[in-house]
Amino acid sequence: MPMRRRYRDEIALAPGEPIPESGRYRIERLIGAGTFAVVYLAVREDGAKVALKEFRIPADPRQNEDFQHLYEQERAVLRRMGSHPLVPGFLEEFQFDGRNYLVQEYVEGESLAEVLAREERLPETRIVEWALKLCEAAVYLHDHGVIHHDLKPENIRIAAQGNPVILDMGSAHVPGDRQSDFYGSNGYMAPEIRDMLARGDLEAHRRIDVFALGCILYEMLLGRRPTQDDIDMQSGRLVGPLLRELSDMHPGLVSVLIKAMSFDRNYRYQGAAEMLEDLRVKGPPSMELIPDAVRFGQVSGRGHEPRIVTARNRGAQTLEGKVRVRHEWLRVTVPGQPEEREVRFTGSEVPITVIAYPDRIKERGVEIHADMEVTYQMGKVVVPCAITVVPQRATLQVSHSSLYLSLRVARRQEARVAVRNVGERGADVKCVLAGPEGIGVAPAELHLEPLESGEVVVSADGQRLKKGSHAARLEFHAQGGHEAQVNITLDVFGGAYDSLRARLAARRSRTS
Amino acid sequence: MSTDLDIAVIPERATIGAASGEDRQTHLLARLRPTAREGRHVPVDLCFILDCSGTMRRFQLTPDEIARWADLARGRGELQMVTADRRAGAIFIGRTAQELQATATKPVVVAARAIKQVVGSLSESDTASLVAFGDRASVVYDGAAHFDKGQMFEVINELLTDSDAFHLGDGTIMAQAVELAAKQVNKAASGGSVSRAIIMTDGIVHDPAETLRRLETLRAQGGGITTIGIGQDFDEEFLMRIADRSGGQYYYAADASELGNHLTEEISRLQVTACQEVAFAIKGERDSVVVDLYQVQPVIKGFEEIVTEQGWTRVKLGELPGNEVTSLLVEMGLPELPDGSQHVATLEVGWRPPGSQQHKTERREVTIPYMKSLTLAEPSPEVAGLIDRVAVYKAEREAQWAQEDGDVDRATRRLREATRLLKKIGEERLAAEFERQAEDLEKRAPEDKSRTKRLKAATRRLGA
Repeated sequence: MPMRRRYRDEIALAPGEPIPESGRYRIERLIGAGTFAVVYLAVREDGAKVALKEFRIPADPRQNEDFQHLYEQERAVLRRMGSHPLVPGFLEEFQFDGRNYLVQEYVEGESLAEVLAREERLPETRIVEWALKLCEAAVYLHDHGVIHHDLKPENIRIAAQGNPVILDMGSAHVPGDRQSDFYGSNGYMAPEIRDMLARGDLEAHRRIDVFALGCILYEMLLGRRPTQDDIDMQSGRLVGPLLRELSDMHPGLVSVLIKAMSFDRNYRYQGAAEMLEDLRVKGPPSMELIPDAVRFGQVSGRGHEPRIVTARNRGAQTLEGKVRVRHEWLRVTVPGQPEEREVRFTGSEVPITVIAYPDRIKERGVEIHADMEVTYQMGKVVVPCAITVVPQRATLQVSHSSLYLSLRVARRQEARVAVRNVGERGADVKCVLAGPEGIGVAPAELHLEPLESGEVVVSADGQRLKKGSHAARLEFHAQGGHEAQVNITLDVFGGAYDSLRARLAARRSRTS
Repeated sequence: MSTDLDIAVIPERATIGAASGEDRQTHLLARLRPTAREGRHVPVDLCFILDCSGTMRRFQLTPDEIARWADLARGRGELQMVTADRRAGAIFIGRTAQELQATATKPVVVAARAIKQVVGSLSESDTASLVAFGDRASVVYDGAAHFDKGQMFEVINELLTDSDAFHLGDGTIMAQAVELAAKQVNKAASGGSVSRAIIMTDGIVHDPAETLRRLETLRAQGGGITTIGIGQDFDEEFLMRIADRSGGQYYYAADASELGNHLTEEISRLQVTACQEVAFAIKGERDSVVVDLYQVQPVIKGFEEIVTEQGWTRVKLGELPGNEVTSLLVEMGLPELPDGSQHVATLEVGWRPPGSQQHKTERREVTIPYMKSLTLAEPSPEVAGLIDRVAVYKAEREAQWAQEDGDVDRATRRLREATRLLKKIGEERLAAEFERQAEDLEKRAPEDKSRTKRLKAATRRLGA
């Protein structure tokens, strides 16, 4: 028994309500309501968020067929659509409690309408980027035989990665569809729709989406919706005063806008593909940086991999610009140029190599941020860079790499070996001596803070060692992995001391 | 016909036009009237949830009175600045405070007196507990297991004379109080009694989400929740929501003196409960659609929770007092059907008589004659009047939502729509108040909180 709750004037499924028929979704909240359907944010059993569209039961039973037709039409459209990053994917359909449901991927983020309401003017770089991406998404829809018919800022969501995603296929049709009812939105509706509605014969066409895309581009450029006054009814083009207002915009962009918003449907682009192509020829360049942030992660001051950021042009012309970093620990380079704090580049796809020098950073264990500025014809894009320098592990240096000890039978001999921690972390150091019985090291353990030195004593006991030459190895094992070692040679003599000295002198001369 | 409940269904129009172009939107009025059982009182298990925050313990004075007392205290050097319930204020100390105490009243004192008054009228089979809350909550009197009026009065007196001893703090944190009340209601519940938690507050609750969550526990135990808002500074939308969700009542007490009347009215209603766990369900037949339904008598309210199942639309009504008619207005969409009497809906009412474990159910088939006649039947005056009243309620609600959205124009338009409808049904005084509200909104004048609360409460009672 599904529990419904009153949300203002809407009665909709209550938060937490499971959908037992499919057994897979739980309602989170109501996120939208229209004439024919409501949309919920729901959570699938695997934790994925989905947009669940519930079609209403009409208040007038005579509209049952119309509502059913709308559901079937949208279902057919969603089935045609495959997977595209700028269009949410269709997951499934089902019936529950006498109602029809369609499930799509949920796109987090705010709508373009909300962004436009909040920001007085969008930066031109973003306008170009979004215009191109919206056209790409529309081309995708058109290529799949889908005409959206209700493109407007409310139906575009800016996803977490900053990409505009086209939502709500409730008004979508396939080209050539003829219908008597049309569900679009005022302010974005192509002018010919009025005539077609008057005739009671509306033909779905890609040009209708193109006009709406033009209106959206207009709104992004000027921060307001176009009105009838903006368009000359004689020529069907944008009027002079408005063009003056657009005079400081990129002329190619304005030219595309004029053609997209033309009242003359034959002059207008015949589909999103034409509009996109023109944007890519006449419009300004639009730089996309992949990835849009650089994270070096935790590095210890030793080697690390440089990061590559690719500057790719999605628009017209060729990218020309420069990359600049202001921080001492960052350097950048592009092919054919030395690594510097500022480098210039040209091209349509330019790999920018970002190199960090952690030894130039004093702070340890905290994330350090810096900006990399990439400036091109349309403006500046800032790429945030972050690095965390962690202290270097304990690193041991010993005073001798080898040690020679000589003694006579029944005597003792000692030698001192110094060990120093040149790393940035303190460590317990184990001292292990591997060799014949009668040779030892003390102490067996040391604790060395960064830049601290310690000393161990290697002792040989002639009473326990046989006469002759012995080899041993003194190893220092620092906690955390670093090791150092000293090779020891030990001669035990039984004869006269002079004989020993002679042999020692002979060995020294060999070593030198 | 049942021995406990009379069920009547009145269609908006006696006949429906069978022609295809006719309007198919119509209404049904379902009237539930418990059959009277004179002199029979049902045992009640009450739990009072009393706000003892800083503002409840302050004197209730008009702005003029405050100015006069402040002048006097300032002159005597007996004015001290403090913070209570997260609001800054001044208190009087010394002789001024003593003189004030002798003449003015505090909301908590009046609320406590009202509680004592209704507790005094309870019978031996009734129980009552008292949970007080501020920043913290405490069961100050536990009468769930053993109820003794004398002991309860003593505790209330103690609470009034030395509230600091209960360490409740100055805030309005309600969730814990609700949880304690749920335990009290659960402990006291017996098969034949009616349980009710009664919240009395004058402030804005600081933990609304958590409070609503814990109210679900209380509601799951079958306890209705009645809310009484006192003064101007409480959140009436929150209190109405609590009451509507649980099948309880919402009352507005403009000043503390109105509190006693509301409390007495509520207890009297509970004591004559004729049906418990009342559930109403309706199903459209032959493609008819139930679009929405509202309770219209004794108060107008939209059901916060509706269960739909295989064409049925179900709502819970809670308890029905024996001395009251409860009516529901059902908005329906009817299909095209041929001439003749047509079965367009089935309704079902279920309930449990107090003291009985047996649930009863009554079903009614609603048939409406479809006629080809071009003359449409006149609407029933009673149903038409209630439709207008619900329209006023909807307009008031929409004005409220528009204000919440910051859309003053829409809010004003909706208030004016309510004004027009109120004039149509002869509610001139309320219409004038709505008009003043719209004018103030239009002029962006400061909100008259008292009037806003009065309008909302009066709108809900339009069906009575």
